[in-house]
Amino acid sequence: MDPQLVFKLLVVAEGHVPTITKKPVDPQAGRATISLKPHDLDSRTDERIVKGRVVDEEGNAVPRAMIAPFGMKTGNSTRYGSLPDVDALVVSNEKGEFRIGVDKTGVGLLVKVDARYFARQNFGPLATDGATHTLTLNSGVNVVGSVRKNGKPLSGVVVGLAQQDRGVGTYVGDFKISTDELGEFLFLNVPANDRYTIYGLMQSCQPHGAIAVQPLTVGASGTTSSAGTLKVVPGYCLAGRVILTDGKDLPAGTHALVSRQNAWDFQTQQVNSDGTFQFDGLPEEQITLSARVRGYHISGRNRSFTPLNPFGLIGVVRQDIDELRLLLTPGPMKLDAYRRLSRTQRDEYQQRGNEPIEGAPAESKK
Amino acid sequence: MTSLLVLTAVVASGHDVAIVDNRPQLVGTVQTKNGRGIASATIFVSTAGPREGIGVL
Repeated sequence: MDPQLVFKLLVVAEGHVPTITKKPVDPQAGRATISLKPHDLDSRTDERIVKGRVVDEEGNAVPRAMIAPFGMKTGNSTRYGSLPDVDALVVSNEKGEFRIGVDKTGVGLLVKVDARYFARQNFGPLATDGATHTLTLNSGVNVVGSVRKNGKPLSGVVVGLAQQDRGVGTYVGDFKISTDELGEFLFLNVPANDRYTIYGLMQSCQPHGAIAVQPLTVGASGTTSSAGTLKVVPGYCLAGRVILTDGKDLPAGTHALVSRQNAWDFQTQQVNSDGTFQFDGLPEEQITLSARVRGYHISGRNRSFTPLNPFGLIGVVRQDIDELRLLLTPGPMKLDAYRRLSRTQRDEYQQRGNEPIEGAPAESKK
Repeated sequence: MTSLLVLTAVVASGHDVAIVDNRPQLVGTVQTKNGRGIASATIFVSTAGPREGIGVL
């Protein structure tokens, strides 16, 4: 494990309540002990259980499928993300059957199902009405391709694949695979009939350059789609400094983050004590740059700031950037500022995201 | 960005935390409230955060 990280764990066992550790577990603190409570599913009425069965296209049971609730529909509204009243994750038994405990009645659950040899798929809403919901998985699509630099195959490069539609009800998560000694890759069990972006992961490509995102559309389950040859080109550097506008020093452990807008890929690093940072291996793409310091938010003086996304600067990297100044200013982030924008202003901010990424201008010297 | 990574469950084994290549392994025990080991539990990494400072994700 990365020695700089601590972890929250989710533990699942038959007959027990799926449990997420309340405090982060530190691998360096010695052996962790996690206690599980017995589940009360056997004594519950059907109104507080979602029951189902995971099967393949021939109706055969799919055991050991992971069923993870990610949304709950109540009336006309749907809540996404953390669901404190719902079992966090269950695993299907040898008959493909599962039960999810729900501490509310009259709701429908949205679930993500992940099983070996099958394509991930979202289902729902699954009602707590006593019915056994049948969730049918298919094998999905194979995606093949290769990575080359200067016409030569490149092995050991990690290629990523993610749906273009990141809608919370649609997105099933990203896929990663490494190229073999011939520079070729093969994704198995990719959800069918969808549009994706395919790209090289920055950390993996850094020694060689960068692989920008490319669109890819896949067909029906059981088919193979070719992504062709992904070319490694020189990557760019983004260097700069995180600055607090009140002149205070940055707290120890401040991190900066660069994420790609059209790929499921990011880099993070702890900034130096003077706030400086440097990211390498960036492709020519739209990115978001951010840093978080408790009690501060991204300043509107940064040229690439937009109220449409107050979490970071959005812009495009088209060349090396040496001295970007990322200003953070005291006070809470204004999450709803975008609501006060006119349509014209929104369009202008949208367009700004397609321009080169810039921080705040240097202080004028008087 | 929450990701789930499956870890190997180590139930009631006698080994201390092992260090491989100076990277610590996450080792532990899954048990009932009464302290009895639970076999065949599956452990996922739900979230990860920095030891120091606040996460940027």
